[in-house]
Order: sequence, then C-alpha cells, then structure tokens
Amino acid sequence: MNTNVIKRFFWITLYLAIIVAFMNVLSNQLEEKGSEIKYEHFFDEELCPEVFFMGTSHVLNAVFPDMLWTDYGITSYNLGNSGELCPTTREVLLNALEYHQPEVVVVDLFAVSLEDTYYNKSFSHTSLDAFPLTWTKIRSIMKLFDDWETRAEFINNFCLYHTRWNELFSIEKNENSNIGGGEFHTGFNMEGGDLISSSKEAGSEVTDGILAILDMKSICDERGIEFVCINLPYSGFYEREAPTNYALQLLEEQGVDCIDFRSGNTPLLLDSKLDFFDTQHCNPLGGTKITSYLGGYLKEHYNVGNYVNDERISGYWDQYVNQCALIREDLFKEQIALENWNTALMLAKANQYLCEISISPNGFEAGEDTEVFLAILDDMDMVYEPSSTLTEGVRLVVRDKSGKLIGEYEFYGK
Amino acid sequence: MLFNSVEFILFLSVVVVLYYTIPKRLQYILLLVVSYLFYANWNRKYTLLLAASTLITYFSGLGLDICNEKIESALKRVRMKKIILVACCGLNLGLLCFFKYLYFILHNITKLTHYTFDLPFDILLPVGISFYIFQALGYIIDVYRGDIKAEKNLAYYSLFVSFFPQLVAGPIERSGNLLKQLREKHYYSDENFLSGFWIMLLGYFEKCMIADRIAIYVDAVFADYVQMGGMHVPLAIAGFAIQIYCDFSGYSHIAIGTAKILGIDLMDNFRQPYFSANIKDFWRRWHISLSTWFRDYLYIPLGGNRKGKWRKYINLMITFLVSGLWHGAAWHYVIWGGIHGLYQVIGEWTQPIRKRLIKFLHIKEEGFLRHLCSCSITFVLVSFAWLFFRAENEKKALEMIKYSFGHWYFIPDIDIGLGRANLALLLFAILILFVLSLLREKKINLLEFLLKQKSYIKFLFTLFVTMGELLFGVWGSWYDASSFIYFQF
Repeated sequence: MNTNVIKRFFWITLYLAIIVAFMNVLSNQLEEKGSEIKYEHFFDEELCPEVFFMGTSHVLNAVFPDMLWTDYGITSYNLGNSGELCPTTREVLLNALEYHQPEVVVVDLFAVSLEDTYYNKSFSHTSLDAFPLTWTKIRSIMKLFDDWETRAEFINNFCLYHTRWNELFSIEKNENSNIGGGEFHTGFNMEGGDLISSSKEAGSEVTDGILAILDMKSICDERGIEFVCINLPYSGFYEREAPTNYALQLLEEQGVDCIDFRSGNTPLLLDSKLDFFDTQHCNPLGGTKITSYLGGYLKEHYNVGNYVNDERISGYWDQYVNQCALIREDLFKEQIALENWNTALMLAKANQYLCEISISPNGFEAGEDTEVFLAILDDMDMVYEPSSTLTEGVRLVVRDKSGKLIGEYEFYGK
Repeated sequence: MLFNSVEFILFLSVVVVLYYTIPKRLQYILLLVVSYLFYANWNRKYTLLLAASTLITYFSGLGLDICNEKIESALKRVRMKKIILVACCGLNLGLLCFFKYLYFILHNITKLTHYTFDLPFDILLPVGISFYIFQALGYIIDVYRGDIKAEKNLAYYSLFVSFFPQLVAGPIERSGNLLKQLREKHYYSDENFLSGFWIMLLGYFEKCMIADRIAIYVDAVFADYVQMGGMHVPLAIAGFAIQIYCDFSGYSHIAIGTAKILGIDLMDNFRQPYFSANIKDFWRRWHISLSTWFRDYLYIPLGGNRKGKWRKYINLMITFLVSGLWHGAAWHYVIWGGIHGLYQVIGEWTQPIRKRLIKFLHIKEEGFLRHLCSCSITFVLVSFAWLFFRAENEKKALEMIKYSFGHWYFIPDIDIGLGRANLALLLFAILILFVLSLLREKKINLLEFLLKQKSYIKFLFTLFVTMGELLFGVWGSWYDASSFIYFQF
C-alpha cells in the first residue's frame, strides 16, 4: 500500500472518529433526560432486581419497588413506560436482560389489543435511549422501526436532539419523580368509573401485541424466568376487552399465571375516584394498594425475597429506599406548600406516614367543603379527632414510620 | 432517498469506494446500476418509465444517424429526420404530459365543460421526470442538429439520462459535456475529492442551515398570515426568495459536489442570481441549465430575436409561460412564468427610455449606488413573482397582497415558528452566504485558495464546517418538547 493511500486512510479515519465522538458527546448533553431519569439506578450492579414490572404507564404509576423492598424484601424495577406497546416492551425486556437476570417478569396486558410496534417516537426514546448501544439494541431498533431515518435517530439520537443546540448550556433535569422506575401522579379522578368488567367475550384475532407477549414468554422460558401477566384496573376502553380476554385465554392455556384485576376475582378492591388520578392510572394511594397486593402475591407464589440477608445488596437497597423516602417527602411537602390538602393527605397515606389529624369544631370557615374533606378522610381510613384548642381549620402532625417528624401544619381551607 | 439523509451519505460512501476500486472499464456500469438503484429507491415501478424514455431517445438517435448515413436524398433525409424527431419528442412529451399534466388538463376541461372525468387509476408524479425527459430531449435535438453524433453504446447513453447526482433535480446536462466524461476512465484525485466534498458541504449549508430553517417562518406566514399582521407578508415573500434559492442551489451544489468526487464536472446551475442588475441578467444566473435549455431548444427555434421586435416579445412570453408550466401543473406557476415574461418584455421595451433617463440624471453606469438600486429593484420584482410560485393558487396570492396593504403592522407576541436563537443563527448563516456569494461575484476562487493550504488546515476546515452543519443544520427529526410531555397512556 503506498504512502498516499495510507495518508488518505488516516485522515478519513481521523475525521470520522472525531465526528462520531462529537456526535456522541453532544448527544449526551442535548438528549432529553426522561430515559436517563427513568433508568437512573437500573444499571447499578447491586440492584439485582428479582422482578421486572413491564408495560405501559398503567404499570408506571402502580408499582413502587421501594415499598416492595421495605414490606416484602423483594428487589425489583419498574420498567413500565408511557405509551409502550407490547413489541417495544419485548425489546425493552431483551435489552434489560443484558444487565440483570430476574426471577419473575410481570407484564401488564393493557396494550395487548394494539397493532404497531410503537405508539410514538418520543415515548420510544424514553423506553430505549438509556440502554447502551449494543447489538441487542441495534436489533431492537431494526425490528421496531421501518425507516432508516428513525433507525438512525435511535442508534445515535444526536439526529434528533441536535436541534436542541440552543439549550446546550441550559439543560435542566427532568422533574418527574423516580421511585424505582415508577412515578407518582397525584390527584383524584372525580369522574369515577367501573373498574370491573363483566364482559367475558374473547376475540379471535392474534394481534401484534399478543404475539409480542407470547414472544416474551418464550424468552423467559428459555432463560428459566417465571412469566406473570396482569391486567391492571382501569375504566372504559371497552373495545379492548375482547382482545385482552383472548390474550388471557391463550396465556392461561399455556400455563401462564394471570392476575386479572378487572375480572373482580381478586380480593383487591380499588375505588375509581379515590385510588385513581384519571380513568386509567392509579394515584399513589391506588399504586400503594396494587404494590402491596402484588408484593404479597409474588412472595407467596415465587422465589423472591432472597437478598434480605445479603449484606451488600440489602445495604444498597436500604440506601436506595432512603433516597426514595426523601423523594416521597418532597412530593408531600410540595402539595402542602400548594395547599392541596386532599392530595397531601393522600400522599401521606401512600407514604405510610403516621398522621395526627385534629379538626376544629367549626371545620373550615369558608371555601373548602368540610363535609367533602371529612368524607375523603373516611374513605382513606384516616383517623381524625376533634380539637379543643383549634378555633378553625385543621391541624396535621405528620411523622414517618420511624417516628421522625415530617412537619406540623395548620390549614383553613381555600 | 433525499440528498440530506443518512441513507444517501451511506449510499454515496459505498459508491465512491467501489467506483475507485473496481476496474476502470467497469466504472460506467457501476454508475448505471447505482443510478437505477437510486431511482428505484423512490419508486421501483417508475424505473420502467426512465428506461422507456431512455430507449425511445436512444433508438431515435440511432435512427437519426442512420438517416444521415444511409439516405442520400437531402429532402427525404430531412423529412425522415423530422419524423423521427417529432415522434421522439412527441412520445417523451406525451409521457411527461400524462404523468405530470393529465390531472391539470382534465381539471380545466371539467371547469369549462362541467363534465367530470372518472379515471380508473391514480397517477403519481414520477420524481425527476421533468428533468430527465428534458435532458433526453436536449440530446435528441443535438443529434438532429448534428451538434453531436448519436451515442451507440446503450449503457453510456442510459447513464447519461439516469446519472444519479443530477437525475431528480438537475442540473439538466448537455450531452456534449456529460457523455464524453462518462466515457472516460476516472482516477482518484485528492483535489477532486476535496473540492467535491467542500461543494457538497456548501450545498448542505444552503439547504440545511438556511433553506429548511427559513421555511419554518415562511410556512407559518403563508399558512396563517391573518394572525400575524400584514407586515409579515413581504418579509415571508423575501424569505421565500431566499428559501427557494438556497434549497435549489443547495441541491445543485450537492449534485455537482457528488459528481466532482466521482471525477465528473457538471455545469454550474446558479451564479449569485440575487446580484442581478435586471431580470434578463437574473435569468442568466438562475437555474442556468433550464434557462439555457429553453433558450436553445424553444426560444431560438421559435425565432428568438431574429424575426422583429414583436415576434421577439411573443417568443419571450411563450418561453416563459412554458417555463412556468414546466415548474408545476397549476395556473399559478404559469402566472409566475408569465410575470417573468412580462418583465422581460417591459424591460426590453423600456430600455431606451431608461438609458435616456440615466443619462439625463447623470447617473454613473458603473456606480455602486446605481448597481445597488438595480439589484434591489430586481430582487423586489423577482420576489413579487415568487409570491405566485409559492402561494397555493393565484387567488390566495392576490388575497395576501391585498391583506398586506390593508394591515400594515406586526401583531405582537406571535409565534413565527422560529425562536430568537434560530432567527439569529439564520441571519448569521445568510450573512455567511452573502459573503461567499460576493467572493464568487468578484471572481475570488475560495476553492482554489483552500486547496493550496496545508493538509492540517484543510482537515480542520472540513471538520469544523461538518461539525457546525451537523449541530446547527435542520436535518433528521425536529425535536418537539411537547411530544415528550408526560402523556398518560
């Protein structure tokens, strides 16, 4: 090979290497941080999740790994993502399995009736961006997206995020909470709705979603991982019932453990107004109930809770739970500061705080409806007492489970 | 695949490596294959159309040559050649009419006669059809005129028609220039590679930094000027003038740069058109390959300026009306062409008066102020015509003008599509382009200057320009924060 050819090869290689490095460095700076936040602790070696929770935002808001550790000694990660269709969930599973080998994979079936591989690209970025670029990820990208422009965007998201160049020095972190991958969304669903489905009708069409779920089962079987399906409660979406019932039928025929919250056959009863912040998604109170139920179920039926006596891993988890406790506390205090009393109390209940609630004989003088407030306290099984010292409003003293004082508050309605 | 896509970069990289590593005698075969693959990437079925046009003109060329060689009687020879030419042009223009103008023709017949046509099929406009058919027609007319001999090698000829850098958006090459280059063997040279790459970078700069960015503003105004205030209308029209120039020039530069990397020189298609002192000059600088095509194959055959003043004006109008129609199958394109035709006619007609006026006012012919005024007036005239090109239809164009005059203000706090940072970047990029254009206008060859520099300077220049365009260019998906907002599903 003559010198000229070598020189040319050198310059071209150097040029390409610098360009690729440039794109990678800037991509890290410019990319939307949702995925990074979501998977913040996922790649920690000590995480050792025994359970992966997977699916759409229904899962995202309904399962809290910190609570599973504290109450059941189960290590887990909430891999649920907004708008994640089953084929994407399958690819998330394949990528996640490169880093951890869980005992159980729990997948929600809300999206099982849908065709298509992804709902929209921005949600897919949240699902996939945080995974390092490996052959598995490249294969996932090739499978999920048809066109090369989208594939390029996922292989190197500089293609998308470079248009944020004017935010290069002002990137702020995403404000979403991250509780072991799960998220809190506060509020109450004033619409209500029926969480139990009476429809037994099963479809007969094998959708992309069903195929992906069956694929996931095969993947788990190959690796000796238990596979569990859940149908988390929600109102409406009646058109999904038949395909979901069909999926449940197919899975049960294959011996898959399915927990259908919509069938009314589980002992867990949620309130569609109190436990949800909209017609589909649990608020922290509803999520706590779901988490508690799933924790008990998994502990009883599967080989989980094995790291309680492992000093290194339990030490990691104890520290992690403390971090989550701080996040929960911040969220609670935020609601207090905004004077969203109902929501604050709901968070207090979800965070398992000890609350001393005293109400003045007059209740709220003006504005806030005292009766509504008391009804919510009753619904949440929160104990309150009449106060002899308070002339108006409500007094709240909040402590965490260890007895540490979170705060003392008085409020007088809006 | 679009020039400003990752696919094209990968495609070109592979083509270039193969091109310079395979035996030189096979280079044209490789180019022919990849050109058809390039076209097939748009639509596989329409490669047959490309092939059909190629074969028609190829065999017609051979037929013309046979007429020259075999027919002794001059009268018979001329008649036969005319038949072949007319048949060939008829078939090609027939294909063009069918695929590009059929809906337009039927729509207008319906408007006039109220008779509705119900076609049992849909017609998709094949990409680049106007370009490659005109290129093929140029070839056959050149053969007819005896300017060149017919190409005997079908592969060379097919490559001439389908050469991928200029297949979908020009420049419309002349057979005399391109065919001989395609027959040559091409050896790698650093000079060609670097020049070609830098010309491509210029093209990407024009397209991705300026055209696609200013398009955001222009589209926003044209979509909803009533919400923005009338003063945005002339700004958007001027913006469109810059957009269309940078878009088209950008594409041409990418095509020219690509061909240069392969050792082939395509003709320049734009020569700083907005530095024109008058409309005539504008058409010597704008889309040069098309305007010279119309000059040589329509205007001159019609008689040009050899048949008297009024016939010249008619010929100009016909040429520009047809040129308008070439750009699109809609009346507003024809009107755009007609406006330019009128400009030329009025320009010609008033030239003696203008000369006398300039003399009377003692204005220096070569003065800077005079030149600036002429360029500004030409820009305004050209921009006004662009309004008809860009608007949905002629009615919308007139509505915009009317609205603009009646609402001569900006509505405050309106989203014009571009934030401050992007606007500042856009203006900076336009300034850079202006400087580069000025250097070219003064015949300062920046390319030559760069080629003479040391390797590390050339390397750093290429690197920084690439990095700048990758970071600041409008390419790939546009990040939309709202689509990432937590949406419950």
